[in-house]
Amino acid sequence: VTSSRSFAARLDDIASVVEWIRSDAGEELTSHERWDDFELAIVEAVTNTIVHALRDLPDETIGVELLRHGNDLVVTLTDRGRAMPASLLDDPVLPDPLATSGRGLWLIKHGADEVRYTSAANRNELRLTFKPAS
Amino acid sequence: MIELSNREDLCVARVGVTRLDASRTPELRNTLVPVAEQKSRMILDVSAVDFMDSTGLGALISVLKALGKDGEMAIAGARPAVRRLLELTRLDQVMRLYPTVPDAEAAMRA
Repeated sequence: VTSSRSFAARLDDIASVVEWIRSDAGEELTSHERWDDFELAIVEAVTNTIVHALRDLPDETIGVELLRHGNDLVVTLTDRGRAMPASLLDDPVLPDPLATSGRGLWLIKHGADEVRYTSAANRNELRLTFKPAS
Repeated sequence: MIELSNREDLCVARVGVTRLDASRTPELRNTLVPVAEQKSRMILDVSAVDFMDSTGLGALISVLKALGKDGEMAIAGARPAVRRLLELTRLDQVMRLYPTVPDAEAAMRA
C-alpha cells in the first residue's frame, strides 16, 4: 500500500508531515523508542530539505511517499531544489558536543536502517527504510 | 513560549511548547541568549517538551556558550525522548540533567 502527499516547504509544516505519517503508519512503529528514532529521522530529513535544498525556493514543495515493502516501511522524500553530495551520507560523524549544528545527517542515519540519496534531472530523492523493531 | 524567573544569580527558563523543532528554535535562541549573557547559571525546564530535534540541541548549546566560560546550564524534567536525544548526542556531557527544577536548583546551589 502506498500513500503520498505534498507538503509546503515551510518549517511550520514539519509537524504536519509527522502527523500525517503517524496517522498512516503509526501502528507499525509500536515500540515507543522506535517511534522516537523514526520521528527524529523524518524531522531531520524534512528540515534538511527545507533549510538546504529549498532555501530561497519558498514556493517549492516536498513530496512524501510511504511504501510498505514486505515488513519494512519506506519513506521517500523528494524535492526539486539544490542537490547535496550523496557522499555526505556515507559516514556522517557526530560532532563535538559543543557544536551548534551538524547533527542532522548523523541522526538520520542513526534512526533509519537504510538511507539512500539520489539526484538526477533536477529531482532529489531521499529514501529512508525502517525495519520492524527486533 | 518561554517563561523566565530570576532567582538571584540563577535564571530558570521554562519552555512552554511541546515540540522544539526548527520552527521554534530561533525564538528560543533569540530569547535566551541575551539573558544568558547576563547570567552565569541557568536551568532550562523542558518538562513540557515531547520532541526536540538537532536545531533544538543547537539552541541549547548557543545558550550554554552565552553563559560564558564558567557558565553552567542544567536541564530539568527531560521526557524520555528528549533525554535519549541528549544522551545519544553526548550533550549530557556538557549540561547536567535533573528530574525537576528544584532538584537542579538544589544541586547548583550545593
